[in-house]
Amino acid sequence: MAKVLLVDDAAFMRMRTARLLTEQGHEVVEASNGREAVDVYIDQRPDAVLMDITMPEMDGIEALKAIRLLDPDARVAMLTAMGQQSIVIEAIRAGARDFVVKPFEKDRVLAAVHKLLGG
Amino acid sequence: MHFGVVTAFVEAAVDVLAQELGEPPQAGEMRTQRSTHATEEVTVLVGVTGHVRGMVLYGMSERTALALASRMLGERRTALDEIVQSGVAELGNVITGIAGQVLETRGITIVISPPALLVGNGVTFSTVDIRRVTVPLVTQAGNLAMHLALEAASPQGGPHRSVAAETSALSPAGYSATAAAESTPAGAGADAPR
Repeated sequence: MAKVLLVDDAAFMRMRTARLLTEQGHEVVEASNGREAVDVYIDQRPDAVLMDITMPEMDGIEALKAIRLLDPDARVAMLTAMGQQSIVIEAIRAGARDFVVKPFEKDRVLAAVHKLLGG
Repeated sequence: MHFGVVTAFVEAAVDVLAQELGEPPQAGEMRTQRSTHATEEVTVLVGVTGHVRGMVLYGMSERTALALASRMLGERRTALDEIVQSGVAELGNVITGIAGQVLETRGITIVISPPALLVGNGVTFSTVDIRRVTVPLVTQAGNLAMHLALEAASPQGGPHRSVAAETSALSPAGYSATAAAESTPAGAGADAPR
């Protein structure tokens, strides 16, 4: 099983998604904004990252870019309500490997994590 | 175009609430208003910029907020704590985000801000010159009122045109838009306070 960094400013979403991942045996570390995500990434070196986009302080796209600068092999999927095509393209160009639009199905999130882990 | 903005939000709300609650809500009679707005017990506020700008508010009673969070989390929540507040704020965020996707297919791009939460009914604030469209949403978890205080951004710097103004000029099939010049009581369209 893997260590997954879950980044979302909504405590509710972190709780809900963390529960789903831990039920599958994953270890979950959390961050509540992009800046905190970068710090946690450096400290914890997770196997995969699930990243919200609309967050205070530093949004998810900026955090994705910062993490990819630190680690070009970082495995990040966006998990967001902002599913406009322009945002999807920006995220993919910045290095996101998957894009899950909220409200999400549990299986879709697990599939994204599986994909990030090379499954 | 402007009626398309309203229907995008209604479609988004119906889709998101159906997925979260397992059954689609019923959209009630739509109204337009220009008065100051009095908040419900719990109000989620999401700012919108882009081709359309303004704010979207989702008002509900505390009881409805608790019921929504309980349904979404799959466990009973009895206090309006951080998790419940975060849950209903996220619901507003997701509905607005999905509306943005629908609008994109209609050639309208919006950017939304992180949601803010107002707790405590009767707080009044003005959306200044922007008329609001209010859409009541009846769900299994209680009633919500979706307030759209939006206007089309003018690229030439000319006068902005409120979505509500356009909406009341276009009476859609399936919805009725009623212009209301006077203030609506707090909680209209949502549950009455307990």
